Amino acid sequence: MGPVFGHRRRFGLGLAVVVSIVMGGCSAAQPSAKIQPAGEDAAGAAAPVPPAPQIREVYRFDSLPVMVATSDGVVLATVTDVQNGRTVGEVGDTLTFAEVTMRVDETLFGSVTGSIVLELDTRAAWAEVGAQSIVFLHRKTDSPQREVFRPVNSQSVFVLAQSGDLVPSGDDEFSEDVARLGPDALRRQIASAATLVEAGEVKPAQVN
Amino acid sequence: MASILGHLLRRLAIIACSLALLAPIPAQATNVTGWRAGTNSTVTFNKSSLTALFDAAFNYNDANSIEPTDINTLVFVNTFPEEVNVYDAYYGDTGWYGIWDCQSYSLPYCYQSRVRINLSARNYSLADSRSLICEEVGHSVGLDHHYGWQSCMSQSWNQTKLDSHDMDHLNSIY
Repeated sequence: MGPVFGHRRRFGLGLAVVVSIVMGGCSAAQPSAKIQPAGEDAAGAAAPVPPAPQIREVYRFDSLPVMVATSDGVVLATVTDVQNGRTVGEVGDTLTFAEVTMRVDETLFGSVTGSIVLELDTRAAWAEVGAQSIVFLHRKTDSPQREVFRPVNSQSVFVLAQSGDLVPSGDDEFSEDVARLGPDALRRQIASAATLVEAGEVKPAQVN
Repeated sequence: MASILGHLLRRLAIIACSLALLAPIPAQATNVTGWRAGTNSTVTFNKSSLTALFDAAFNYNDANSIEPTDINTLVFVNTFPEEVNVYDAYYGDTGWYGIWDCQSYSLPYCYQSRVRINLSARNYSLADSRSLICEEVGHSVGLDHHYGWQSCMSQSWNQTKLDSHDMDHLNSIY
């Protein structure tokens, strides 16, 4: 009886291991009650990454030619200055724009040249002095006294990294696909799109 | 005998784990951000001088999309900052209708966030206002976009409420 009992004890122990693996070890794959927070490292320490802002935008693109057609200009430009700009909003919530000055190094679409000013409603990581980016520009309609631009939408900036890669401002599939083209191929595709736009074969996007 | 049994048990455990991994992933994995408002099931809101249109939209959303979930809402008007603070103003030509951002956080909790509705961006209809408030408040309590669903989180102006998937997600978080 002794050895049989011993086998049963081992079987019971093994069963407990199976149950504990299935209930515990596998539970991360299929949470039963509460969601595992995103961005937490293996030790459970909080990552210092803030939640990304969530936006319903006027435009959302999934076509490069349409993005070009919707832009007032596309440039390769370098940030030369960043300052606090004007403030809008009401008591309790005001929005201070960042005023970003860029030197246009190359005009890829349209006729924007020289030094331009962009008004950003948030301090974008890409807007650092010295950073060079391909930017799809929108000429702002609320600054009649002077020419001020902003990126067309959150997908509209591709930073030229030191590695030579493009880093998209958008975190969606389209932005990542465009960035994967690399600077030279993107330039060529913008030029092709510009030809189509100027021929009237591609129209600007409808507002969302 | 014992080693054979142990071997079988290990195989059984591997198979059980594999089956668990192959099982359909719960819908809750699809559009949650990993963040949530506050640390308990009561979420406090501050409606700060909302226009009548968006004030009504906020109340509609609270009654139809948030309160039916496990979230209890406490709504204040023009108080000190609460967990979620909702504003509408003429922010100008910003390129967005609405934006949610978190100002104070420690994963997975967003202790204080802000919803901004840009009155300059559109001539909002009643349905538009409900759709936009629904989406931005949805973000504030931890929902991400999902496209093509029957929910305001799809960013479609025709959708003015959260759908049952969204509500299930919220019930799993709060």
